[in-house]
Amino acid sequence: MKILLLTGFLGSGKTSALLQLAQKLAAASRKNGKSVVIIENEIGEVGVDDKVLKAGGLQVKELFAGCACCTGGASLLSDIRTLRETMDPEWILIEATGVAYPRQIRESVEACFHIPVKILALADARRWKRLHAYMSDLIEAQVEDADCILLNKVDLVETAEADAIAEELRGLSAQAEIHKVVADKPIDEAVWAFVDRE
Amino acid sequence: MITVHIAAHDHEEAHVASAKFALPGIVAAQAEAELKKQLAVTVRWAQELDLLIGHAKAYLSWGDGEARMLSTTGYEVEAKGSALPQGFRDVELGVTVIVFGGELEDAEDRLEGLSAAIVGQFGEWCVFEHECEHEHHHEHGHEHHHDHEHGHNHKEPDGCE
Repeated sequence: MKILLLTGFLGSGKTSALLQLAQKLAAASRKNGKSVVIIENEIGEVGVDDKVLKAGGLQVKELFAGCACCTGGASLLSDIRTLRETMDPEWILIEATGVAYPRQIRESVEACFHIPVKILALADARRWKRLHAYMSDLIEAQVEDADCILLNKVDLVETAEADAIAEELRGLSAQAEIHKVVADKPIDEAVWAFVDRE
Repeated sequence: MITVHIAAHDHEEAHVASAKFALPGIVAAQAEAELKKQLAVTVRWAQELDLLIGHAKAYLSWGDGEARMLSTTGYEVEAKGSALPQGFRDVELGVTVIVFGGELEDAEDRLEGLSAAIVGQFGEWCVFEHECEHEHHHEHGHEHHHDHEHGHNHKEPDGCE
């Protein structure tokens, strides 16, 4: 079983990216007789993203017990354990809430299951400056441990601005691959290569 | 009479408010049009109060797993998901608004207004059922939720004093 954590601020495009990644991984897993399950952690009491993912034919487990980096942490671990015992999926994809600190989630999952957790982070190019100015601690924490960062909505900013944000991201997360994307459109297959990398 | 379930809580600096209700036998496109309009109103509301919108996100669902999502981060309202059904259908709506700044009650009030506007499109009235989290919320609810002028009224929430 492999685990990927998807993180990024509210509205950064996590669900759009997840839809594409999950469908690709699910197609590959089906060939091996395995499955992909999404754990969808939403901060609101009303789930929205899970409806879209389910409508896209994906298996989704909703987690409404609170944010997985804090109050919902125990529920997340319990859900992963249950999924492993009942379905043994090839992939568990965790979509964190838009206000989650991914390091806490990664540390607790890795400590519990001894499985390395990959982190895919989304950053919203259009709102980067404003969000970074408003809540730099959270915004930086959401990208700094990432294995891959998708700088999304680059079609809505000037090329020079997207380049400058990518440089900022590079400064925050030296180890991460950084790709400029428009997640509402098909994302280049090469972007997803990081998921299979050791 | 349509029952609208409203829930609200704070998560660190974020004010999180959600509404959920069902509309029986309606034209989904009409609900979506009003929902889209109300999300745009929500963007203007946030601008006027100088709030940062985390996101405002909503869904309409009907039938067997079919759903359409509308969202905004303070700019345009985007829609994605299944194509809307033709004719009259039972439709469920859910909305979550997350804002930074202001008060939690502001977000709750906005969701009440949004819900009432959508329900009002179909000639119905709302009954609001609240999940209360803290005392401040209760007091505010008593002050503001007895407004009948906009096609909505207030049911005393279970467990609230």
